[in-house]
Amino acid sequence: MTFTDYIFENSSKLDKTSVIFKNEITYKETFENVKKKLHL
Amino acid sequence: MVSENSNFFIENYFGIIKSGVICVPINPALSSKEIKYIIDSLNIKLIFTQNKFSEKIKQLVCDDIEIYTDSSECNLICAPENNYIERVDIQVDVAVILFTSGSTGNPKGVMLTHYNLIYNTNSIIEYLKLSQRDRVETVLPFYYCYGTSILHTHFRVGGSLVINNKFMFPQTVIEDINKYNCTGFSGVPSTYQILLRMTDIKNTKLPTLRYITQAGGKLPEIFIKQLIDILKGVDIFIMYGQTEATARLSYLPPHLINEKMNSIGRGIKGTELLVLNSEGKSVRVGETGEVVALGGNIMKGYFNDKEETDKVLKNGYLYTGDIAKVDDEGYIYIVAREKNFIKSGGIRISPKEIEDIILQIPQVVECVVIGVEDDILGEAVKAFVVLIENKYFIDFKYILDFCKKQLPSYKTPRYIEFLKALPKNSSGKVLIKSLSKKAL
Repeated sequence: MTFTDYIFENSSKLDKTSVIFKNEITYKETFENVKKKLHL
Repeated sequence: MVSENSNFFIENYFGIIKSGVICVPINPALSSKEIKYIIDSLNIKLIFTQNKFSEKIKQLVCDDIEIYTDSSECNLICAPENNYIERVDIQVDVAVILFTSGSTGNPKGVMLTHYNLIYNTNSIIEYLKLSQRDRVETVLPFYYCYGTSILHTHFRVGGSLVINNKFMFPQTVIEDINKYNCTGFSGVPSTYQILLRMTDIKNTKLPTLRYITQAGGKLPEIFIKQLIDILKGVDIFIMYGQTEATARLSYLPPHLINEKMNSIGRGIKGTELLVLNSEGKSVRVGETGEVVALGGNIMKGYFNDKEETDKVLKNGYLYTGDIAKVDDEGYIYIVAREKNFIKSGGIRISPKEIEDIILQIPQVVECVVIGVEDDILGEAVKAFVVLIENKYFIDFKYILDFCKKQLPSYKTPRYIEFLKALPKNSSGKVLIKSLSKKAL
């Protein structure tokens, strides 16, 4: 287990996680990218 | 990791930590010399950087260091199962090294374990009562512990982040809170001083805002009172911490903000926070001593610097270097950092006391008081003052007369210098050392 695993431990809670940057609302996108890269 | 706050940072930051190696977030605005010092001293093997910084980075490193940018990171090969992960011992293995501003000499690399990060994240989530309904606007950089704590806590609960990298246009910060229905906002003292005196926050309703947090130094009382007055119904968390403690050490419950004005509260859950006198005993009410902390959030040590580590970590306790008092209920009040006291004519003067007086002048945005060499007194009081633009009718005499009404003569500034802005690091902290050099 790493700190990253702990952050994403409750994946079900993370459905609404979003990052809003430069006026672009990237709902889920960042989180999904992280998950994809990490094979979570 | 050389990156501003961005999706690029977030994705790769968590990826690096997941892979079992250590992530070292670096401020892209550091000088080439400073970045090279960090790269060389840590024996960095792989650098993630945004395209806009890649040329600067390439000039600093030799060919055996791999560099990945926004455009090349997709070439990274993901291992389906990473064997490193099995070997991570969260109590022992370092996940992140954060560099402190370095008040003396070179910056120091604070080693934080996976456990440190988990421990502090849990505590912060609990007292801020964060949930997936929360959406925080962040202006604090992720390479600064306060900024990373915002990233950690909101991702852990499934909340959201609104990244604003345009604090040089402070009105946009206020606008974004409403534009994106933010429930939270975090800042250091200068963040709030600028928002209060250089934006329209007083006339703006922020209906979705649930809480704000303030750490990174003491916010003068006058600004705390203004925030209370303007942000009715918003929980205001005054907090205290250090990079060496992952981020957070204490907070003052919002309902006590008036009763315990200027207090940093008490230790967060799981962290013992004491104020010890020179004999190592807890101070009595009114007595001053050093703030000392024990808990799962205390760093493993400074990277490759046993001597500096031994100065601050003793028997597991972190000696913060901050001088404080406690009241009869154990609430802590920071007086000054030991090294920032002015020693004038044999008397110790807290610069904060003088700054608080000068900041009562509504046209003053920011003020820093330091001691400068003086043949007779040892040190004399000097104030650096930033005024609201086009309000230059305030001069040396005006400020001096204002101070004389409220301070004894030995505390009134002998010198006052007006600046357009205070020198700050990218986290918004004032660079006292730079002002001291300027004063020579």
